[in-house]
Amino acid sequence: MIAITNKDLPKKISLLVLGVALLVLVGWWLQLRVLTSILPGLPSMKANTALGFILLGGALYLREMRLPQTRWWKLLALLSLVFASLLLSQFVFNLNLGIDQALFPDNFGDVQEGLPGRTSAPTAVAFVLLALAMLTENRLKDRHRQTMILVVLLLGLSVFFSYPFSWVYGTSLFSYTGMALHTSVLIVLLAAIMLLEMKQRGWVDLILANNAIGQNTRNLLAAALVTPFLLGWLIFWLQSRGVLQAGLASSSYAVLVMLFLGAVIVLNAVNLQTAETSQRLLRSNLASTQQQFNALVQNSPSAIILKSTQGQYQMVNLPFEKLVGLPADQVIGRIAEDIFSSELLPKVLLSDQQVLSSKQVVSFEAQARLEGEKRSYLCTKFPMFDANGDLVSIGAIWTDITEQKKLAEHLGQKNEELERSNKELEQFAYVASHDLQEPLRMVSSYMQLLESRYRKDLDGDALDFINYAVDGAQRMQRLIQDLLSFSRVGTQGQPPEPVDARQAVDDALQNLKVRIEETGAKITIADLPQVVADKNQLAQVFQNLVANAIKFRGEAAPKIRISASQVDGFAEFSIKDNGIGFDAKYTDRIFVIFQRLNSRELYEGTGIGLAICKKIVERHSGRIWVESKPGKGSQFFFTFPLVPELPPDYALDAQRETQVWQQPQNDESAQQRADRML
Amino acid sequence: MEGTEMIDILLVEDNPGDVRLTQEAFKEGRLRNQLHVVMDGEAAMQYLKQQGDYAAAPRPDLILLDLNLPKMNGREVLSAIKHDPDLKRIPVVVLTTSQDETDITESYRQFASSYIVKPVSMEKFIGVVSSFKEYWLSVVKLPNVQE
Repeated sequence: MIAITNKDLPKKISLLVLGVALLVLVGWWLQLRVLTSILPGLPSMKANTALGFILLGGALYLREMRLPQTRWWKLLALLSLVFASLLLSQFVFNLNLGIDQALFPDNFGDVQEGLPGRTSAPTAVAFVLLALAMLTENRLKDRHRQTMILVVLLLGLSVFFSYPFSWVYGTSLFSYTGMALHTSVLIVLLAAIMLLEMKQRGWVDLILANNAIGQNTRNLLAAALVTPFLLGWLIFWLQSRGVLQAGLASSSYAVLVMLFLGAVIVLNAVNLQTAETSQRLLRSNLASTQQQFNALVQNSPSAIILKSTQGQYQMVNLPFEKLVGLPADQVIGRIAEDIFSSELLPKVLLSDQQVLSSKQVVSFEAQARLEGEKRSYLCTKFPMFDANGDLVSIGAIWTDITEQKKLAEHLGQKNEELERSNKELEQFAYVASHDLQEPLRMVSSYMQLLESRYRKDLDGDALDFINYAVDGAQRMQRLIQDLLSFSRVGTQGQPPEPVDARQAVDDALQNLKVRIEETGAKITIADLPQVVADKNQLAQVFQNLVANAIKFRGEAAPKIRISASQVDGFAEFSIKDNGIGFDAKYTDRIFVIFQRLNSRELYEGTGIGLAICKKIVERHSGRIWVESKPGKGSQFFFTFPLVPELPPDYALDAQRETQVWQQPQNDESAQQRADRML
Repeated sequence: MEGTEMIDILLVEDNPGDVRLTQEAFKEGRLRNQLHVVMDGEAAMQYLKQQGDYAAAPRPDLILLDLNLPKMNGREVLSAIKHDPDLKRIPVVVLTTSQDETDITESYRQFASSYIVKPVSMEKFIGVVSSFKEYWLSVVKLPNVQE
């Protein structure tokens, strides 16, 4: 639909009308024919005509000013009606009121006109109708006013189009109208702008519509206006030149008009066909979109609704019907108050209000009974806008989250249980450290007391038995303490942080100083990366593995090599020895707590070291494994996460291997811990 | 080094085996002492406050306190002693099997004078007793509780 896009257009046209009319008056005053008639021999715009335009144009301009008082433009329009009626009455009643030359004498005299200075009858009619149309706004139906203006428009157009003909035939042809060329233009302009400006434009809108109908109507109208005019003018011209006889001229005009209009209509039909096809396509697209939309909405497990901004339900799906326990036809057109229980209603109304005021998505959780069962819902409400961005409706999706809630609750319970069982484990560790050791102390202490006090009364067997009892008690105590250490890996570990692995290795070797010296072990260490770890625990892993490598040495002095590579964000450490090794089938067993492969007589220890290593590594999301062959030594591998932002070229280079380890200072407590671990 | 005076020691210990063992250790360590024994925390407090059966009990020069006691446990006894203006100057040696670090730090926080983990072997126990005999009865001048 074409609105008047330029709001100032009526004002501009009325100013143009005023300007031309004033120029014409100046022309009369200064006797300039170029202003009154444009070309010599053409009818002139009379001074009274110009005055009429000034009154009409002024009225239109004042009306467009949209002043609070309307009486000024109405007064001007009324004046122009009176004035035009006077002009017209001279023709109707065949009078001479003596007003024709009241302003200026008309003494050009070269046009064959009835009376000098008299405004032509069509112009007077046009003025009367235009003034009436203005004054009757809101009094007469726009349809009728439109007809009046249309008469004016046709009058103006007919005079305008007649000028080319009269130019061919000679000016005398139009002496009966006497409407000047610029008069006809101004009348057409005034009529056109008044048609466009009307509120109820009726058929004008049809013509101006921005669609196939408007397009076709405009095409056909243009053809209907232009074809007869151009062809008529051409035939007329040929006839005036004597090229065509009158009869032939008329028949060829008729045939040519038929041909052209026929062609235009057929072309138009083709256009309409295309428009119709695309319309049909649009309709079928719309239908399938609607079907898809319905299928999506109806098959959704969530309840979905659309409601108007007044809160009336426009669309609901099956799950929503179940949710509120009402069929769709009892919901559509109703409001939340009719549908929701008093329990849910406040939340529903509040969220509607929030969506309306914030124009944003609002979510809330609510409980509702579905088929007698209490269920939890997450309701998401959202605003829906039209193409202009105005809020037109509210959408809501109710999702059943009962299962999620149950799961979350279940998970919470499990978590609590886990925490409780963890607490119990810690309690167990404490009991193990304290209560289990009491009776052991009793056994071993009194055995020792027995031995020291009564040695002379006891024979060799008795002393042996006492030794076995004491040894057993002491081993038992060590097992308990190891078990305690094992359980403390999880409970007493520090949060992992970036640690230099080399630092951890140095700490570990320092604790093993005595054993390294005693056995003459040679240890080489490659470049080691930074990892994310509890530093003490990382050192503990190195310490246990190096201690194992020393403990399970072969005939030759131990040679141990510590290196690392980087794999998938993890540092893969390797500790390779030349010790006794073991059969590959035991690789899994050796990481289990208190599992031993060798006899106690040959190798001391409870079998806790590797289990602790495994627990520490796994606490850091890493892995630990071993490759070994009897007599060929063992190679232990374990992984720790790398520090994430490390530059990639921190690659480990075997060439840069350095000979290690210098004498550290003695660290008594660490040394003791190392002893106990093995 | 033997003390010339007889010193009074209060042993708070519920396990008769440990009581005897401590007595034996003091005997072997040749420490001249009067070892008084109570079997639970409440009895310890009654003894120290000379209440009930303990009205005539002498003030101990040193308290050996097990942490794991029936009724009122060792931590509570320690706290009660250290909050009592009359008793807080008596040195308390916590003597226990527990190696739990929280026990150790908590005991020191409560102003325990020393924390000794009971060793498994008798020899070591005797060693411990004679070491604190030297430490407590010779090096450290015990505050005069009559003050």
